[in-house]
This record gives sequence, structure tokens and C-alpha cells, in this order.
Amino acid sequence: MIGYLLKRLGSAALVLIAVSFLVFALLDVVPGDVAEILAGDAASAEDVAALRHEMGLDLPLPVRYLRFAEAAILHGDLGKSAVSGRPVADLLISRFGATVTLALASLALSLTVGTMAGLLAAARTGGYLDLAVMALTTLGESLPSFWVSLLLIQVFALKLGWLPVLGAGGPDHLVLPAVALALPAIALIARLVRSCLLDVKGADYVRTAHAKGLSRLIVWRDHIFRNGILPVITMLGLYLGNLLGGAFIIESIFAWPGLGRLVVQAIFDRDFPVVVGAVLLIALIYQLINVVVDMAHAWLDPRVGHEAI
Amino acid sequence: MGKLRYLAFLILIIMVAGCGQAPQAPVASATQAPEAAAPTEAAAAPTEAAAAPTEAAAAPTEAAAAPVAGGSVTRAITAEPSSLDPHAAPGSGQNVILPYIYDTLVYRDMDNNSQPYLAKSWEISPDGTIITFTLRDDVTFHDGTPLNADAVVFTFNRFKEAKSSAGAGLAGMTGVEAVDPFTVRFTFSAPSSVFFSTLATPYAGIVSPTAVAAEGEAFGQKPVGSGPFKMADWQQGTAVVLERNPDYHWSPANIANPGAPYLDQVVFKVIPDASTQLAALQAGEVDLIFINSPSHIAKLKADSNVELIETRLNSLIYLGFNEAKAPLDDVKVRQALSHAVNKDEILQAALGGTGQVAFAPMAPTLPGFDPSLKQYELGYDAAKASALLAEAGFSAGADGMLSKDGQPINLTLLTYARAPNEDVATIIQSQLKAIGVNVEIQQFDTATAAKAATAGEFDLLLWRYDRNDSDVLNINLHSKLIGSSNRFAYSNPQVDQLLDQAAHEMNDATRAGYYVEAQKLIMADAPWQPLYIPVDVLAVSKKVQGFQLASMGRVMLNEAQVTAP
Repeated sequence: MIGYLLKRLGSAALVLIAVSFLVFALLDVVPGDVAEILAGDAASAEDVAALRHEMGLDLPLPVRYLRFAEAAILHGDLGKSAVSGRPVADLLISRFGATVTLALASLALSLTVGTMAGLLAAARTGGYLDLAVMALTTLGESLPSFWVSLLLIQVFALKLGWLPVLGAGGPDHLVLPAVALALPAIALIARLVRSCLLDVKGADYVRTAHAKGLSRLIVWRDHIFRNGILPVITMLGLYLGNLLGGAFIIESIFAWPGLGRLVVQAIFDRDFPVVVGAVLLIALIYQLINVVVDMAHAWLDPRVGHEAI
Repeated sequence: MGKLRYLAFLILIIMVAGCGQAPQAPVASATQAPEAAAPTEAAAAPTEAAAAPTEAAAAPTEAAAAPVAGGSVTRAITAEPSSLDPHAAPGSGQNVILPYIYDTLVYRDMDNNSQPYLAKSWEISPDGTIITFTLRDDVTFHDGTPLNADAVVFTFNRFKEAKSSAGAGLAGMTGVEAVDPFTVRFTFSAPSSVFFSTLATPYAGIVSPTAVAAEGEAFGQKPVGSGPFKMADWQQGTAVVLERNPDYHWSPANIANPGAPYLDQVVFKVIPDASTQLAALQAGEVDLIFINSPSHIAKLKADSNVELIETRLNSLIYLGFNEAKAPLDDVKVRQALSHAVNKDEILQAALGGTGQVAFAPMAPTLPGFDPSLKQYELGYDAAKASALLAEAGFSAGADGMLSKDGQPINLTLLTYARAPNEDVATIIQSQLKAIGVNVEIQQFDTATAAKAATAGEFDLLLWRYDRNDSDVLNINLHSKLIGSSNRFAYSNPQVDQLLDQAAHEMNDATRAGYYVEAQKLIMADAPWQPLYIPVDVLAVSKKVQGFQLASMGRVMLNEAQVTAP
């Protein structure tokens, strides 16, 4: 088990190195750089060149990458923002809490609501409840998140006045962005839970369990649910990464001070140290979640662990 | 290579922002974010939100009764400032906040004239190369340090060394020295007419030398000036909170309250999305926003809790022609395309009737604008446009599209993603199609579009300037700047000479005269077709009373009070 964990962590480190180089290379071919932006439209070509030299932007890509990698790996230093001069690590930390709060709130919401809905639909296959869940999930998956967000604001903040418009603040401020972010996930989980449970529902051992005279509750809880839920765990892991790294639109609309907004603003400002740092952080989280998901699999389904060890 | 670069940018955006969200997501982000990124020349041009109301400062309601002390006003900003150090590179958001924290030597009145502020008076030497300021002797910074000649000398040396693009107006400055504790002398290699407008920008705010020494790099996070409000709290990613400076008693002449502000707090909330700003205002979570979307304006007109005040900006939207590319090197073609553009239609269709048609290259709020220039406008005249193109050797094919020597005329129109550029570009596209000219629209994020514009990768450029000085014409149209800020390859020696004279003329009236003459030549050469002057609308909750609008779109809160709604 420990060996498996170490192996997974090692490959995660390799992935991070590959991601950091990929981001560096992509940023290198993006038109425009921070020197041009800082120097302003009225600056002469010489001014821009001088600034570029001062910031080390005129060095070849491999040199810049090795300098970055050296500082990051040996000293844990992600550099400074090219625009504000603040350490990238500080900027990331200042936004990370908000991102995690929002992601976990949405995860909790989508997990409870999504699983319940999927379970009900699976238990009543073909019934009205099933139809309703399927219709609502199709809607939930296809509505664009910015539109849903604005609708939530119009209804719950302006018309009804129950909740605040803006994200940051007390717990009541968390509700609307969490719901907006959770909606597609609820739909996804509900559909997945339903179809997984239906697969298991028809399995031989379930029929056997019923035939043994076990109560409906025990069959569903110990046989159908426990076995059917494995793919959902995998999907959840992937989706949590998505909730952490892909909430930019929601963060923007609800003025939520998260990581996504920081990165996108940094891209528009061509503030590359911040972009690289943030992408690495998000990649790291994905990797860690993957490891956790694999571990969870090993725990829930002993076959996985034995094969790997 | 060019195409590849844009593709790489797109991949990056999708990778980071999209991440499997709804496919609509990246599109929405592209239209929202550049707004925050202070596009066009805002970076080069030190204007605060670039707004300059033309109407005299109009407080919505005069507070006749005794002022109500206390309370807080919340204003929405689209982007969080990266730093509140005035000498840091101008970025988004900071120019809105700086004027509350810092005072400047002079301020600009509504006619863009310099008026005393921290400087009681000044004297310009006959040759224009020495300017001596006499300072107020009763001003202290928020940290208690006295604001004297040494602080001013420190500030301007620091500002010049910072090489901030906002400090370009200090280029001719050779020295600054303290003559006595409250007298400062600036020396110049040649007279510099842009110096005074630079002084009035928030970027020329006087900083506390003690605080700069104490804070070092953190000064941008813990700014110390002498303004009516001082830094209280910075909630990263969410809000900047300023509190009242109880010692303030040196407000300039345009403010009736000589003492400290009545408000306890001013809060700047970071709200990137314009629709959210609107909702937050209607929900009472913010008190003050700037809007420019016609549909939002219409929505707020129906809201009885909100006051709408139109501000006109020191800005111009124009269509520029790249003279380095055929057939736009032919003045007849440029004139023809200018005549083909129907500006009234643009205003009606893309701006919902807001804004004002422009005819001269100079924005009407800047010195050097003259209503008589209207007679030189290449106004809408489709027949004349076709005639000029025929003179230039173009003839229409069976499909009505023009060509010359078998070559059809296909033009690329470059612009950046910010409402309503896309609509304006589309209307221009259809207007030019009507006279047989094919236009392809390219729209990118601000930085990408600016890069392509400076590299000359366009035929037509739909662009905007925001600047509080008439030297905006020097920056954009002087031939010595071809390849950098003169993106149009426009060159006219007579125009260059007039622009040079204006740059070194310290007499305002004479200087304005040079600009009027230069514009007559420019309008005939047609490197630009001026399109319109944008309007920003200040929307304020009615519970805020007694605020004032000053030049450059500043909202002065020295006299503001909050009353129960």
C-alpha cells in the first residue's frame, strides 16, 4: 500500500514538471508580454526592450525555465508577480481559501442532492419521479453557468431579497455561488448514480440477495449502493478538480475572491509568474485528488489494492 | 507564426478558464475581463477612469441642513488594483482609488485648467524651463510626517526613476530641488506643456517619504498620502477599505467643505461583472457604480432609488487606417472609406443612442478642440465615397464588390474585446460592404490586439484613446513614433512641426491654436475617421447625498453624506 502510494506521488511530481514546462512554452508563444503592458501604449520600442531586459524576459525559453525550476524546486520560491511585485505564493495563498471553501460547499451540495436524486430515480425506474429527475438533470447540465448565476441573483437576491448578491462575506454569501457551481455537478452525479445503480440492480448477486429474503433496505444499502457507487467516486475526484480550477465564471459573476479570477486576470495582464504558479497549484491539486481517489478505490474495492501491490 | 500565437493564447485561456465548464464560458470571460484590464491608452494615459464630465459639478441634492457625520459609501470597481503606490505601473482599478488617498500639487477644473491644490501658487520662467511652486505649509501625511518641499522632491525623483508609463510627461524634467522648506523648483531641458496635466493625475500623488522608507516594497499595500481618506484594510480579492482622515483641512477650491470628510469609510468592492454590479446596486450592497451598457442604463432609469448622472469622457473612439498598406496609402481611399461610415447609425444601433458623434480627432473636453473643425469632417456620403474610389482606380464587378487591376479590395478590421466594439465593427463592416468593400473583423483580448496593432497587422483599426492631455495627438500621429504608438504610419511634416510646437508651448491658448491647425491637416489626410465620444453613466443610490463630480470622472466624497433611504 505504501509502495503504491509512493509510486503514485512520484508520477505526480513528473506530471507537475511536464505541466510547468508546457505552461512555460505556451506562454512563450502568446502574443504580447508584460513589458509591453507596463510600458504602455506611448512607449518607444527601446523603452520596451530595456524593460524586457530588466525583467529577464529577453532570455531564451530554456534558460528562463531552468531558472524558474531551480528556484521552485530548490527553494520553494515561485517568484514574484511581474505586475505588483508581490510573491506569487502569497497571492495564491490569499485566494486559495476562498476557492476551497466554494469547491467544498458545492461538492457537499452536489453529493447529497445528486446522490439522493439518482437513488430515487433508480428505485423508481420508468416512473414519474425518474422522468422528472432525468428531465431536470438534462436541463441542469445544459444551462450555461453564467446565465444560471444571473438568474439566481435576479430571483433570490433582487426579487425575493433572501440572499446577498455578492459572494464574499458571511455564510449566507456562499449560498448562491455554491448552488450555481453545484448545479451541473448535481445533474451529472444524479445521472451517474442512477445508471450505475441500474447496472448493479440487475446483477445476479442482487437477485440472489433478494431471493435469500433480505429486506429491500439491506439489499439496496449493502449490495446495490455499495457496489454501484464506485464509478461515482472516481468521477467525483475528477469533478472536484474541476470545481477548484474551473470556477472562473462563477467567481467573476459573484465577485468571489478565488483562484480562477486571479489566473484569468494574470493572463490578461501577461503576468506569467502568477499564471505558472496558479496552474501548478491546480495541477498539484488534481494529482493529489487522483491519488486520494485511487486510495479510496483500494479501500472500497479490495481487488484494486491487491492488484497494485 | 501570427496565427499560431493567437491559437496558443486561445488554448491557454480555455485550459485555465474553461476547464470543462459550459462551452459558453470562455466567450463570456473574453468580453468581461478586458474591461477590467484598462484597455487602450489608459495605461499610457494618466486619466482616472478617463472620465471628464462636461457639465459643471452637480451635487444631486444640496445638503442645506447640518452635515450628518458617519456612515460609509461603497463603490464598485471592476478589477482589484495590483498596488496603491502611485508610482507603480498603472494598472486596472488603482486610478479610481488613488485620488482619495493622495493629494496632488494641482488639480484640473472642468475646463482642464490647472488650479492650486497642495501648491498655493506657481511661477513659470520666461523661457518656460523653470517652474517654481509655493506649497501650503499646513499639510501632514497620514503618518504625521509634514508635507514639505523635501517630500515633493522625494516624490518626483521617485516617480521619474520608477519609469512608470504614467510618468512619460516628466521626460523633459532635468531636476527638482527644494529652494526653501515650502518652495520647490522644477527644471526642464525644454518647455514641456504636458507637465501640468501629468501633475494633476493621481499618479503624481505626493507620497510620505517616511512611509516609503519604512515599508519598502510593501508600500503599495500600505499606502500613505495626505488625502481625505487613508488606508484602513485591504481584503485580498474582495475590497479595499479607506477611512476618514480626521486631520484633513486642505481641500482644493472646488470643494466647499474645507475640513475632514463626513463619511467614516469608503469601501471599494471588486466586482468584475457589470451585471453583478448592477444587481448589487439594486440590492443596496453597493452605492455607486459606473455603467456604459445601454440596456443597464434603461433598467436603472426605472429604479426610483437610483440617481443617474451622465459623464462625458476625455475619450474618442476612432477608425484608423494603416497607411503602410495598399490601398490605404492612397489618401482618396482613406477619404472614401471615411465618407462611407455612417456615425449616426453606429450610435443608434450599437450604443442605444448614448454617446455623441465625433468629428475632430481631439475629444471635445480637451484643449485644442474647436467646433469650427466640423466643416472639415468627412461626413457620411456614400455617393462621394464611391466616386473617390472610382478616382482611385477601383471598379465594381458583377457582384457589386470593388476591385482594382483584378484585385478585390479585402480589408482586415482589428479591435479588442470590449463592449460595444464588436457591434460597432459589425456595423462598419456592413456599411463598407454597401459601397463594395469587403471587411474581415478580428477581435482579440486587449493585450493581443495592442500587440497586433503596434506591429501594423491591420488595415482598419477600431480603437479608443483615454487621455487628459491634448498631446494624445502627438502620441498617436507624430511621424517620429511610427512603429510604436503611431500605428497608422501617418506622416505629414507640417503636422509634425505643429505638434512639436504645441509640445513646447506653455501658453495654453497658443498651444490650443497649434492643435486646431494640426487637426485641419490631419482631417484632410484622413489617417483616422473619428467615430464617437463615449458616455459613462454614474449610478448612485439616493441615500448618498452631497458628492461631487470633478474632472477626469473623479467622484469627490469630501462632502458626501449617507442618509436613511
